[in-house]
Amino acid sequence: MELSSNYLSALKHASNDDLLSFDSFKLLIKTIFDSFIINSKLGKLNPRLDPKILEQINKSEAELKEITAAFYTLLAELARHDVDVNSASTFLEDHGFSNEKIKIFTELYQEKLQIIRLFLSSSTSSFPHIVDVSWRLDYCIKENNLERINEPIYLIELKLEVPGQSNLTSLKFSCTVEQLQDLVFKLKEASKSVEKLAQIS
Amino acid sequence: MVLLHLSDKQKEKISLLNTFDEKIIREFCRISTESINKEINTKAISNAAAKLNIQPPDLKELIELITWIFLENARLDLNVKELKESLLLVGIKEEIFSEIELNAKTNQNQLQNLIDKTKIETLSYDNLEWRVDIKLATRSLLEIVEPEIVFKFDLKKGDERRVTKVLQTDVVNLNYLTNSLENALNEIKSNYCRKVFRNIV
Repeated sequence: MELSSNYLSALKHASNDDLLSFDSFKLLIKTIFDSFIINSKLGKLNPRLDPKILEQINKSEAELKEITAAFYTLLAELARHDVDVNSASTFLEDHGFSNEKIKIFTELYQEKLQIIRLFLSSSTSSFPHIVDVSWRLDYCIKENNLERINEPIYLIELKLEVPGQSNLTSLKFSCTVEQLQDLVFKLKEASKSVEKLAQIS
Repeated sequence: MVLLHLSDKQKEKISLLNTFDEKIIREFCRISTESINKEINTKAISNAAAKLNIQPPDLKELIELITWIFLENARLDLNVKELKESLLLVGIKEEIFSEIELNAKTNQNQLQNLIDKTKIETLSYDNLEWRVDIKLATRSLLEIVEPEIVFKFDLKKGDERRVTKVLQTDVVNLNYLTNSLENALNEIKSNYCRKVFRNIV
């Protein structure tokens, strides 16, 4: 795990109880962790800290920005490697944080680690992800130039989540009964193979 | 029972048809079937008209009448009895009818396929290929185990154009998708659907 020298010096700054009091540290670190909230727009982190809270911390804006950036980077790195609480605490200890500060950090870290990892996982690229399906069964009776068709036809709509887009898109297509049988058969095959995989591991 | 409705002008042409023998009618049918795929050869028509001692435009109209019968027969999906009833009603000779009927029966399927191509185009399912992947790491997240199912949907638009969509989903959604579509497939066997199908036909 590597942090740039800028961030390391900002962390050092934050570790110094004379420069950043425990209360200020607690307020800041809580605000940072609280910004990781699961909402409908997962992955859209809003890192703007509440100015009211920042007012209470006796620091210049530039210094605060540096410290905040350093902690976000630290969290991203820790979560990226899935570092456990003990190792995280050792890291802070090595960088001169007091036990008090370490305790509040690790408590929040343990609570939020999985959510932070969720944020990180959503920042990857992927194919459009199927999240829902709807279907409709029609009975086609006749067309303008063909009569007595009398054939059932399915309309399938797959709802897709495209990375980087907040709205769902959809893919619509039609199937005859035979085609749907083929589709369902293949999906079942896939389901089974995933099940088998789960049993092995 | 569905019947062909011939216009008065067409009825007149039928009486003209009756003046030829089966052999010539067979030839008419051949030209007419050919004319579906390519344009009528005017030169051949003039030659034939000279031999039969009629005006080329008249001959062309006769061929067109037979083509019309073939097309309507395919469009309305007539059975032999219906075709026979319709044509005997307008006074066609029995021998000539059998010749036309024989040809109409052979090209009915081919014509229906041809007509089918003109229908309202929607994407239709053609094939599905799937693959199970386990995501192990991404740039922003290391040490993960996340099964992913990647689908390649082959869809067809119209006759020729193929559309390929690569999508993915997770295990929960795969099971949901499979169950939903299986339910859709079972729905067609439900009492309600059977009742409707039975009563429409």
